[in-house]
Amino acid sequence: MKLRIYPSIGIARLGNGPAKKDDVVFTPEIPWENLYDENLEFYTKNGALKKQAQRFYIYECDENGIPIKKLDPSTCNIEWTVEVANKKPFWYDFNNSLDLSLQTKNQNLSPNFHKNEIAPGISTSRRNPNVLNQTLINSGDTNYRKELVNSPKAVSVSNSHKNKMIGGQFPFPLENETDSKIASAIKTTSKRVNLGAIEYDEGTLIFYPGDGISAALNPSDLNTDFADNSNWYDDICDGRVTARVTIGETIYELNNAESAAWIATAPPDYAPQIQPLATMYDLVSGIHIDNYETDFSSIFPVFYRLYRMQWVNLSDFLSPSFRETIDQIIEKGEFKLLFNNSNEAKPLREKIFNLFRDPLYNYNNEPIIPSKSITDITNIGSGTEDIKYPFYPGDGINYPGSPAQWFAIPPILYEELKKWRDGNFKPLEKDFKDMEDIGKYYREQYLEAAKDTSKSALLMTKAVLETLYGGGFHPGVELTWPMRHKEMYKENTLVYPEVTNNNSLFGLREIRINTASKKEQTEIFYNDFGFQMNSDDVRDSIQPGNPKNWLWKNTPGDLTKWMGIPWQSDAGSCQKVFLDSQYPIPAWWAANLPVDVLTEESLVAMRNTKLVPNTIEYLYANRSPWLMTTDTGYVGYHAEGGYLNGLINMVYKWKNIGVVAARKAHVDGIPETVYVASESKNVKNKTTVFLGKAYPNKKVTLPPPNIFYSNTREMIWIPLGKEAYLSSNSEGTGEVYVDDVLELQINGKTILNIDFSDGCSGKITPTSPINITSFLEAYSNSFVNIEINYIDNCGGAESSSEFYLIFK
Amino acid sequence: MKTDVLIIGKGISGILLSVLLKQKGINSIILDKGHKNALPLSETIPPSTLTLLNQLGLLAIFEETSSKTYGYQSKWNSETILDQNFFNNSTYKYGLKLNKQLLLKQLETLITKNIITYDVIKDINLNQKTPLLTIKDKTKNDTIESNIIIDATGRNRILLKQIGIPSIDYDDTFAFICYVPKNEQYVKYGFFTETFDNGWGTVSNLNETTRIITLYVSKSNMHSNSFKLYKNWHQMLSNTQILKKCLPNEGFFKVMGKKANSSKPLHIAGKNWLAIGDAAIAFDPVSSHGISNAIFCCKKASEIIEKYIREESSINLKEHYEDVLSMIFKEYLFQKEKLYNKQTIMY
Repeated sequence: MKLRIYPSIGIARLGNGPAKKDDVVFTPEIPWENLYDENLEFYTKNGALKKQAQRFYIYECDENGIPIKKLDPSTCNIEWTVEVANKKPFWYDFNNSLDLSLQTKNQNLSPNFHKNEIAPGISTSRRNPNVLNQTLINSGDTNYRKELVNSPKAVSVSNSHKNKMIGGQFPFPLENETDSKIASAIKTTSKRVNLGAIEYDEGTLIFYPGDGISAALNPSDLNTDFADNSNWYDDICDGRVTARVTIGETIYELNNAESAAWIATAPPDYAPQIQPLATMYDLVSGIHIDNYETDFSSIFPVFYRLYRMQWVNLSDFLSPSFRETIDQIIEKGEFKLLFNNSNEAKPLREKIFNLFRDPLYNYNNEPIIPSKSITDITNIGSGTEDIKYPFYPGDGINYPGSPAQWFAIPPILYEELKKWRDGNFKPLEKDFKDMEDIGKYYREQYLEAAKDTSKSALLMTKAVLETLYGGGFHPGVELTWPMRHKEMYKENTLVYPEVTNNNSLFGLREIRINTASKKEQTEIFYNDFGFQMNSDDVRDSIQPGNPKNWLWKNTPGDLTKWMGIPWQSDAGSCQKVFLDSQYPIPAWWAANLPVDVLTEESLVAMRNTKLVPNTIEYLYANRSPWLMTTDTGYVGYHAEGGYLNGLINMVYKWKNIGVVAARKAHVDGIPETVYVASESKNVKNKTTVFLGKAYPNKKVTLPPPNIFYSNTREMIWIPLGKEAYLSSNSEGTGEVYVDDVLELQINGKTILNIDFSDGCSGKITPTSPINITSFLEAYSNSFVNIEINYIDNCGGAESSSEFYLIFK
Repeated sequence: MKTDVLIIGKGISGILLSVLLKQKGINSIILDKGHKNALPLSETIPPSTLTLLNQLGLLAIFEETSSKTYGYQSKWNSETILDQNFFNNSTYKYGLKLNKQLLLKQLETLITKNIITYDVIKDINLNQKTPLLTIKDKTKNDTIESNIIIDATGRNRILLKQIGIPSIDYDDTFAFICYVPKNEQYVKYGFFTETFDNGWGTVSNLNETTRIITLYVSKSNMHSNSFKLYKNWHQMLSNTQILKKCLPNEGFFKVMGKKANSSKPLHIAGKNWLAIGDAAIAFDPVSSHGISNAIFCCKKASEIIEKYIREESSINLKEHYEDVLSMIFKEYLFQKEKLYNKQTIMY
């Protein structure tokens, strides 16, 4: 029997909430699982941004390593070990992606990058260049640069020791030293920089990320650059997750590249239900394009993701936009032509195909994105061609006029799109009315596949990689350009070509990071390329047997070392990119770092039943800058909307910015489910009073009318000047119902009697949260006793939702 | 009517005793003087009492009807706040905050058939081997014969009064109780005790919206009348650290009074009767022992009653019951003296 850890690559996201499993969100274990959930809450009751934790499992696998089922923890002893590090201050500045000049067979990159040098890699020098490796310059014996790697010892948990912190420091004292020499030299001491925590939970491992604390060693140093700030540290990390499993007398060590897993922490995903346009899974699949049998499921995801960007980016909401294109074909009654391979549908397919930019990147003449070195001469003769989809900057952003200034969907997606254009794909047979309809259908496919215990393991890895941005890399949000190369992986094979019958969705892959063995790690952990690193180093390193090949043998810290430091700088600055033209305005990674959002406050305003439809439309179309949802330099007395101000304030404001989440709209004339940004401050001024439990559907036993559930709450304070709602969740957003009647009494007097059966019509109609402010007015500023009764009026069955009274 | 044990009082002690006796196969009747809508007080029982409840097989029903609490904080005539975290306890690492009405309702479902309501007690005859008690309700008189009669009427001590046993007060502490809406002030564990110039007070979270602030003052204290009005509280508590911050800035709230002194009847048991709960020994609430005392009394009483009935009344209740409780009360008074001597409260 073989054992392997899944997901093989995990992701945890920073939050300032507690590292407690009841108060975090978990990384989805099934792709698309969370897309439509209207009840997710991303802030804790105290208003802290919840951490996103990753859970790992051990699977029994067959001789070929194909997972069979989860290992039953009651049959064995499991000790989990995690070793992580943060190498960012030790590594190199980010100028651009250093693989852009390579000649490789990598199908993720257009040959034009090498052949026509459309966006050459720019050489880079070290972060913290003043910290030296003395062994090189004066035959001293200290490599001070080692202190720049925050590398706490591996920590382990098991049934007997369930919780451990991963305590780290910056600078990190050298081996056998208690104090940091760098810190002493500037008359300070090392700072505690914890990299996370782990928990043993009934055989599984939970990895909790750090608290999101970034700072400079010298407190007055400001973070003025988007990616490179010497003296700074943050609590991002990555590293290996291993396990020792004892079954009877046999010990299994899950500590090599085939069996162990890798964890990386990343900034928060501020729109967890909106998927990146191109994902890391696309890139990993696209390194070498397997010959897929094309069905509509290999086309739809890119359409769908682009369509849903309307919730996070104005350019994808207004016109021209892909959303508008879809609106138009629905209006014409042609929606089904989208997934139809007939000749009749060909003109439409051709039209849509031509909207997308070719990742081959032949020179064209799209508008340029001006360089940050401003001159008046920005656009002579440029921008004669229409801008293509998507409106996002790409890897070549540094070079005005380079076709790679714009992001193109990865070749693997573009190739499928070509087949679709030509009608070479299996159509969808059912009738679907809109994009969300199809989205829900494919989500069902993933949920169906997850019932297969073998597929469930591979789905976990896919679910992780689908939430990560797959470009443009400048440097990116979570992980960056090395991830698109085959050298990063020990294993990258297609195990199941289809997720379910006739729905490939690019299949399910076994993906394992190419990790250094423990022995190799001791030799290469502190390797770098000296004062400068350039494209030649990367070119050499991918040659097997080349001395620089160590670059691809991953040790803790190696996946995240390329990212900006502190992470908040990049997250706060990568917003809109202004061009000479005023529309559309491109933006960076809006699916994880939104740009323009519909706020929860707008939604609440739209629910006002006195509004006329026109006003609702205006409110709906009014999108606010995401960063305005907190005051990163936009709100307040000294309101400064400047770029630097944004970088600097983000270091502490990141935990208050709105998270875009699905909510039931309860407004006529707009989509039923909307994605709105709600901030931590929205969580605070809210009081929730439990009234009654959810009553499971049961057959009626007593003749109606009969009170089948009753609960009394004593001495409840009714505040003055607050809105009061009945809701089935503590957030005030859940639909309520009773089969059949809800009765509410205050101090023994019935104030509310709602018949959800509509006079025993045979149908129970749940309703949106009920505003009962007017019924409580007479009691405001007093203590009352509240009695809630669920009444069966019609016989048959009885049931109810939960009931909370919310004041906000 | 005939029963083994006749219990007067349908509070926590009375119902609990009836439940415990039922476990032992002993019949009982509870006399209930009718519905009284008592205000919720959010009583707490500490982890040590949970062990006792577990032995009695009643832990589940208590847990169902209460919420967990993990400690308390106090500032007792000192500059520092003492943090008592139940996590350091060995068996149970939490206490319970009771919803007393709900708990009584649940306990009652175990013994529904044994409860009789009445208006007044007309007569008690303890001189026979099986004492007789006559009650009157609206229409008729009823006489109940039992082996033993229990006073479970709390500080009212109805049975004891009727048979002429005097109560002895050991202090004259009076509680001023006020319900206030929760404000921004955070109270760790939801419970805090703090001393001030004229006495001491507690703040206790009752539910999602409401707190109870209770101030304990000696009746003989010259300022005690001022506490009757909420508008004086800001001034009276101005030297406190936490209590004053729990008072809402605006609004007036009703203040209620309640006796909260330490007291004990001259006798706790006789030939064929005994008292339990507050009727037996009533503590000053600083010990927050009210419910725990009721549970302990009921356990002890149920054991003694079982013996009494099995051994046909040969057992001496005074020796086996009264002396044990009296000793506990003595120890409590001793501890209380020590605690009160540490402060400069003007009694």
